[in-house]
Amino acid sequence: MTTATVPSEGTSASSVTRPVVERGVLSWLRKNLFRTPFDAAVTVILLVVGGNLLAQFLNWSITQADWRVITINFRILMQGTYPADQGARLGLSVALITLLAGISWGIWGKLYRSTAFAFLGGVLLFIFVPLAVESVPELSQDAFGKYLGNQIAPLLSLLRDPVLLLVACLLIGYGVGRFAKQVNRKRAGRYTLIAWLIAIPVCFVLVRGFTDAQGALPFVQTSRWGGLLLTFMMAFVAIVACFPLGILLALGRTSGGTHKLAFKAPPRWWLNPLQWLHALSIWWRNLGNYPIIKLLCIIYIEFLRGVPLVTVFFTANLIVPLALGDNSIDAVLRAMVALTLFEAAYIAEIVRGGLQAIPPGQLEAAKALGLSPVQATLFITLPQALRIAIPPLVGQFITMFKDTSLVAIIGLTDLLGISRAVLAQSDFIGRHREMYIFVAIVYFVFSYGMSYAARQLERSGSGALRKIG
Amino acid sequence: MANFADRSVSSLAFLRDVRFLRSLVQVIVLIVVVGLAIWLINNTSEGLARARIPTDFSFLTQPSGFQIDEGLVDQPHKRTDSYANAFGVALINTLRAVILSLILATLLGLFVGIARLSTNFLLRSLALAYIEIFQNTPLLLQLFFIFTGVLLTLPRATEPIVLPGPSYLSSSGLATPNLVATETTLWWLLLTIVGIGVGITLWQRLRTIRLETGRTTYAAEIGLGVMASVTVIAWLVLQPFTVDFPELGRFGYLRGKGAVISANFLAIVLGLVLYTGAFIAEIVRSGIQAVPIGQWEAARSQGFTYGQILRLIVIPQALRVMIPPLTNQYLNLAKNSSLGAAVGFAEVFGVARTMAQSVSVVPIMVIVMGIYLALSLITSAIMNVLNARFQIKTR
Repeated sequence: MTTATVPSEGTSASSVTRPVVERGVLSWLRKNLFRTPFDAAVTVILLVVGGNLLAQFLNWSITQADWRVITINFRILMQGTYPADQGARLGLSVALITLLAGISWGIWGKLYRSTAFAFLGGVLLFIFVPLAVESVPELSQDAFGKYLGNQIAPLLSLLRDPVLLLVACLLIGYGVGRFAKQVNRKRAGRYTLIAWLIAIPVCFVLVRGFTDAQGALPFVQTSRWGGLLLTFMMAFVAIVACFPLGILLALGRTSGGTHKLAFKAPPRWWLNPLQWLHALSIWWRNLGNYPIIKLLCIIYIEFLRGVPLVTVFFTANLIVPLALGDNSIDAVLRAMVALTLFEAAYIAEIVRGGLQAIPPGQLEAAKALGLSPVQATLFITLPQALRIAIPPLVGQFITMFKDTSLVAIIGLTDLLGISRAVLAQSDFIGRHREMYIFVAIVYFVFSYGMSYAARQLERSGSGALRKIG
Repeated sequence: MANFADRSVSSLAFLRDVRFLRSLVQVIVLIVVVGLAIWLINNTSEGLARARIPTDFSFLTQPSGFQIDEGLVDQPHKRTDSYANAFGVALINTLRAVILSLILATLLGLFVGIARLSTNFLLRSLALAYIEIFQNTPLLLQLFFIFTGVLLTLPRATEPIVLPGPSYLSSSGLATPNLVATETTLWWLLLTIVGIGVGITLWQRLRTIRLETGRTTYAAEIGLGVMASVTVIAWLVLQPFTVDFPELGRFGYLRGKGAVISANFLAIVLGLVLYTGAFIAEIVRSGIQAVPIGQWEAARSQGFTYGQILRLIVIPQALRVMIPPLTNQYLNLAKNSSLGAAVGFAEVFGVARTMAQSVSVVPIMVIVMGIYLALSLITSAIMNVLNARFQIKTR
């Protein structure tokens, strides 16, 4: 205390007093809500309008909404018509993926207090609200009690086991990841990456089964996949398959020379056909060492980036069976192929951005050390480019996850498609809002989770990114 | 022996020539790609022939057999009109939806992006909540929610919600008063254009005088005043429009009375604006944050107000960073307009899907993809010009 602020000699104590730091609720309110009269007006208007809307929503959700449409159709929303006796296979796949996600989080991320509280709150909500409502029957006399007892409690108790499983796997994985990181960070990271590469095909096989299997894993046709399961399968397959294709396309597009020829245009060159030829030849030579490959890649990328995904789905749906001369390819596989080919173009552009951000000195140094072009690409430029491209890549994966919903337009039963099918039943007419709000929450949880993970990765800085490769 | 070895080296030397190797690789790739393409096209055409599906474009001149109610005029496409006409009508609808959504989404994104950086906690958090919700859910879901969850649950057209105007809002859409052109409209338009031209010239002249001499010339005030007064006086004198009010009949809105904006159009525009607006807001926020804080401080020390700083100092600099990602969002918006088919809006993809039920899908999809490609190319060309305009000029 005594040595905290000693004014230097010659200055009066009053001139160096520290500015008063205001604390407390009132000061926070003044600073953040009522700084100026205009601010105050904005606050009041937002409070009135927002509060009114919120009250209306709560009122609707309690008195008019019927959330049983989700409780009744829960299994179909999650799995489609996947055989009920094979459900354990799905549980196992989900547990595997969640565990891996938890491990990755433990290695590269950090468990913030806010996230931990969110988990804790969720777990408490899902365990105790149903218990409390079931054990207090007199609560269910008034409208709110009835609402809790009839609608919310069954939904929560239905969600309880899956949510607990997910949170448990995530937290166990987190612990394992933390431990592995302390033992050997580099090796833990590498093994986790390999585990991811293995896990996704394993899950695919686990869900699909073997065509000729009699015992353990009987075959389940893709037409019986549905709901969230189909959404996830489409997203996973597309992400895994479009990534190598996208990298190849990006390499093809950047396979130019380093020296660009400039086209020195004389005035009004476009009037002279000879100048056209000259411009064309300069353009062709500027395509670099592999002009044909580069041109093919450019055409592919720009064509697919210029058309909407639905038209690609639609075309693939009708033309792929004809083009391959094989009618046995089912609609799900067709959609997966279309999504993969489409997204590869976007991945290619992102990877190209990463490749262009690598200083040319890297490639020159690699050449000087005697690395062949293939070696230089594989070991020097590409790893660095992918590292730079991680944030936009994750963004594209989120887009891809959301884009799978477009298969509803060509009649597949992914989460959105199957919710429409449920709503078309006469029992659930007019329950659009409830259903769509639930579906939106599901999409939100997963894509927000992905963007949260990406942000953590970004925030942990380039040092953390370096340890991934 | 030595002679033999020499000869073998020289005859195989081309294998070590990088130009030869590169050409070889390319030729192999080309052969594979072309072979694959030929195989696929062959298979497709065989399959099409087997299924007796024609692939020519002769259907375009034949009557389509379906009608489109959505458009600038009442019933723009009748059953007896040709397929080509249907494509034209659909293209106009797509452009209508895209251009309107593009303008509104930009305004919304600008507003929310600035609100996201506000000192007001409530405004800031609401902006963040809006952005996160709309960025993390699929557009198709939002469209379904807006259309079936909100617009179709409105009261029927026979007993609509009455808004000032009078406008009517119901599950059949929004009916608003409409301006109908008269014979003086053209004169009014001409006068207005002349007025705006004079106003802009005056503005620029006065501004130059101010910049050169430092005198206060009220350039903006005089310029805008001239424009506004010419427009208003010409309006009052010429009375260029008559107002056509919407009317309610026994079965809803009366045909040909007022302007009726269909619920489908409302749904696709609302969906595109809210979805794209969230992404544009993030672009605006990061663009503003990319402007060094010293610019704000310098401007504040010069006595600029908050609005002036944003308008004159920060946003012009932020635009440089914002234009490339903004171009991507505009392209996405144009492509996402194809989801209008899901809410029954008669745009290009939706109409093509209807056509595919009666004619061959191959030429239809060729036309549809061509239209979207052209749209994308035009958008990116315009944005490239803008981008070049806004970049810092260096030597």
